[in-house]
Amino acid sequence: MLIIDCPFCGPRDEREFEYCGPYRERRPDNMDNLSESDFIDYLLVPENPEGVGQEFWWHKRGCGEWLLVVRDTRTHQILSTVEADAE
Amino acid sequence: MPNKYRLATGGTIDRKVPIKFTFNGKTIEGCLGDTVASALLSNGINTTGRSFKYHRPRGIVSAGLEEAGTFIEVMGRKGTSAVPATIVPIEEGLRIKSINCWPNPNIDFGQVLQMISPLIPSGFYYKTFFKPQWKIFEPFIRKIAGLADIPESEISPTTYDSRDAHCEFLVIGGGIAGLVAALMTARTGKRVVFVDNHMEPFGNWSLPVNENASIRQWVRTLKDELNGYSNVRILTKTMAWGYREQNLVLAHETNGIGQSELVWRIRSSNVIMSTGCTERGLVFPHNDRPGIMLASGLLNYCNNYAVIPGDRVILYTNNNSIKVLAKTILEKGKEIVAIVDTREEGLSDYSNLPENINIYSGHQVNKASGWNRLRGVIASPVMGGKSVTLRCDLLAVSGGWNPNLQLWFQSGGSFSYDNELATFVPTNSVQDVITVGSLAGKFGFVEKINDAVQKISDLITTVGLSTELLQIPEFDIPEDEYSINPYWESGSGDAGSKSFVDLLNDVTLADIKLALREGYDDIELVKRYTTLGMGLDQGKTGNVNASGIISNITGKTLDEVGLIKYRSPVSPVSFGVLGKPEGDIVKPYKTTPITKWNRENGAVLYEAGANWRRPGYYLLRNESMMDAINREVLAVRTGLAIYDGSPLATFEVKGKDAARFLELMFTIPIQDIHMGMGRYGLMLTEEGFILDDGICFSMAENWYQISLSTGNVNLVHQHLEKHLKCDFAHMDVSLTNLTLQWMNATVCGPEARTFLQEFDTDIDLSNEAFPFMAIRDGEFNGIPARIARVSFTGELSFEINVRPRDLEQLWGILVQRGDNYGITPIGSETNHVLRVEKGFISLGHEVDGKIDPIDLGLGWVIGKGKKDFIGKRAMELNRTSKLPRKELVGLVSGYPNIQFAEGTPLVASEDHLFVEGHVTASVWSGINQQYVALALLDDGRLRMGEKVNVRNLNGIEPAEVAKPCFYDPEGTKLRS
Repeated sequence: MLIIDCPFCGPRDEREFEYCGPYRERRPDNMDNLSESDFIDYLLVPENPEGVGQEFWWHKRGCGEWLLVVRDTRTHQILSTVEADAE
Repeated sequence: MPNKYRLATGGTIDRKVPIKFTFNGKTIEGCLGDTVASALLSNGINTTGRSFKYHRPRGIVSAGLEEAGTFIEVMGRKGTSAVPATIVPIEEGLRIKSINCWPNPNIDFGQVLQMISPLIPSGFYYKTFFKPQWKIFEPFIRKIAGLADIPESEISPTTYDSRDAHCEFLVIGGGIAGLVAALMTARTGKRVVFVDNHMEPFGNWSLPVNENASIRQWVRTLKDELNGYSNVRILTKTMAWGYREQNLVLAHETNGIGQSELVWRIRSSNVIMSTGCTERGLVFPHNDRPGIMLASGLLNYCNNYAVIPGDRVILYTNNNSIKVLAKTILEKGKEIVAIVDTREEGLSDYSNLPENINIYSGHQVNKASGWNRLRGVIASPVMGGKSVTLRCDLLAVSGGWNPNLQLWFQSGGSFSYDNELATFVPTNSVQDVITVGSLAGKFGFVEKINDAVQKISDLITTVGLSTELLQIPEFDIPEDEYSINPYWESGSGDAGSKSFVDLLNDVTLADIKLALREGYDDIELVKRYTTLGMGLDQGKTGNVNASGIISNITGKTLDEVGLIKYRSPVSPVSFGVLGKPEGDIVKPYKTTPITKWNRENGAVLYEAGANWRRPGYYLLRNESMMDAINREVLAVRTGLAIYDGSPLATFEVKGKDAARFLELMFTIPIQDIHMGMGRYGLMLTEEGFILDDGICFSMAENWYQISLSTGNVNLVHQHLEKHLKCDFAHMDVSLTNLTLQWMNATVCGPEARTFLQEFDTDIDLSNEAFPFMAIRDGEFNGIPARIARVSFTGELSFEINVRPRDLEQLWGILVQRGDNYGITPIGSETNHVLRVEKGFISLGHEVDGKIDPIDLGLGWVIGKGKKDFIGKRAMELNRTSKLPRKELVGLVSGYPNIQFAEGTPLVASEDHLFVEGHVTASVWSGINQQYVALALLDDGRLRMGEKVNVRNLNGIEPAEVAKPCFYDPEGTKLRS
């Protein structure tokens, strides 16, 4: 079980969060005229690295915010936690 | 004679309190403080079990968790299976049974296997019994294999629970190094958790240092000081069994068999591991005979339990640690026949022992003799030469000491082979954990203390704290050089003799050689092929020997060979404590405010999605479930009914971009929904399949309310949130889950309007002012209400939403005044019948994650002019395939009483069982006086009127494909 350092609530137990999949690029705005291969890339080719990867976590039973967590899948070390739409 | 092998003095047992228990039906007497193992040994019972595969007689080989010889079953109400005899304290009246043998360990039916054992090498069962079918042989093999029966009692009286703990320092293992570490960290004032699996820290008095008065005195002062700290939590009888990411350690606390059990989740900034070390055996032919023990086990029985279970003792070693045992046995007045030492230079090390002991330096044990009891050993010079036969009834073996790397392994730490110590020691850590004491390869008593003091001081400084220095007195104890010379295997013996590497799983030297010969050259493959180290003890005493043997045979270095990966748990943990206890505390059901009324009025309550407990139906006197449902359905279709629709998922979407957001989330157009009106729509996943269906109401400008399925609320909430936060964060939208803020009573049936118009309300309920799919705010009988005209039943229906605190009052008044109309409360089973009759879709039935709107005939729900919504692109892409699609149809049998069970496959023909669909729902339709069903069928909509074959349990039943609507297909009723 992980401890996730929520930027709003501080370090919290994994049981407060929901894992919501690996990081994915923002959904393209021009979905209706995207080429087929670009669409398939968007839909079916998420990053799945062995090592450092980014993933979405939802602090559902906490502040309700969406977080982008950078985690090493080999060691479970969490390198950073930021708000998902912080850019 | 009871307690024949009990020494007259010594030990921590209380001879004045005798305790009787039974072992395989025979009454055994031990005394207070005994374990099952020590009591059996003191009574001279050598053969205490049979081995797993060959059913060879086995005895007790150790005194702790590392036991690989004797596992027992505890009978009775508090029964438990397959626990080592060495850790079960005896109690009056305890009933114990050996495992792996029938009828008893002395006369074992399965022994016949021993005679054919040359024929059953590794993989024998799978290689031999695969033809004609494994399942023919399985019952017989299962009967003679397996470890223990399921306990007699149906429900264990044991209570299980879990706790969390957080601390700055966690010390695992209560040896001297652990004790020093706990005290030093305690002095920092930070939170410390100290875990030890014994009765008390440093409670293992088998250690020779306990004879030393000054050490005992010093340890006492350490423990007294430690007990005085309020920042320290000492968990005794607690075994740390799992090490997870971010220094999460799992520990199991129990008071013994049948007592309450607790699992601790301990999160610590720093972990100090002092899990100590375990002795390993030596591998030689017949090294499993009852009467052969680990030296450390025998020493423990001498000192703790005052038992030496034999009269003529031989010691067999490759290192100096056995000298302590030799001295102890002599002091207790028993005879040591000989010491066999594999080391040439061993002789000089024994110079201070009595001269009448024969010391065979540079010798190995070639073979042990005896069957149910050890009779002697044959030893010969390692370099070759004349062998000697020595008679004995007890052989203590020491093959060296292995640090207990199990938890270290789990923490991700690395390790390497230490030539000096002839074993694997920890090297680099991955997490914030350090190792101290014998775990770190420091075997001398003073060496361990110094190691702990040094490392803990460094750690405390590193984390920016300070501590008072620990004063260590000068101890006057002789410390011998360990001087081990590894000896992985001795003598091949004759062809029929077996040298066991893993006693518990009956894995022999020959099995390992076979595995290597057959090409399984990695140690993990050897493990899988032979089951080496896969027993309940996880190879605590055998695995390092296996690495040594593989290194000998393959010529690889021990670092190249490595060690079998230790996995959690370190020792078996009961399922009860791992499973989540069921019940209202751990998993509370959600109930609505009228649950009390429901209970008083015959409701049969059960879970119906999203953890809501709600009525399935209401039973009147002497009714069957079927009667009740039929009565409720009839009320909805012909009169007046009421149900509690509160669990329905409800979200509020507000903001300047609310409509834009919902346009993307739903298949339907949103912008043109008139204020005060709703529209039925579907929500798809980005992969193009239906996620949920629901209704979008336009409440006011930039304000929408959406109602969705009950069961899927968590997934849908996540779906909406994820797109909002990760894809459309630039939009001005706020999303709120109002599921628990709006409760409702839904009044339905042809008489619903007439009935509701009797109440005092400012909402005009006429069809003109309040059409189908409209939503109105106002007051109803003095209660603020939001009424929606939606229908999940196919009848005229008003959903009266109120605040949770008002529902009981609303429900009460509706039920009271509805009496004149015969108002009938209905449950979710009835709702199911009503929706199947109407062909309304339901999640988990028709919507199974592979279905799109067009499959269900819901093409009209897709906004034609919409350029984009979640799932549109993928749905169109999926549909470019020319393969047939499963489409929603109705099914009826020619015979009204034939029901097609849910999930039943539809097959192409009686001989051709190609599955072309399945039944998704099937109910008795009172209106039609026949069973009706919904199904998903390949190209179903093109096959109306065709006959299909339903493969029921009794064979093939013909059915006719019909439109998926069996009641009021025009929808005039619900719009009336």
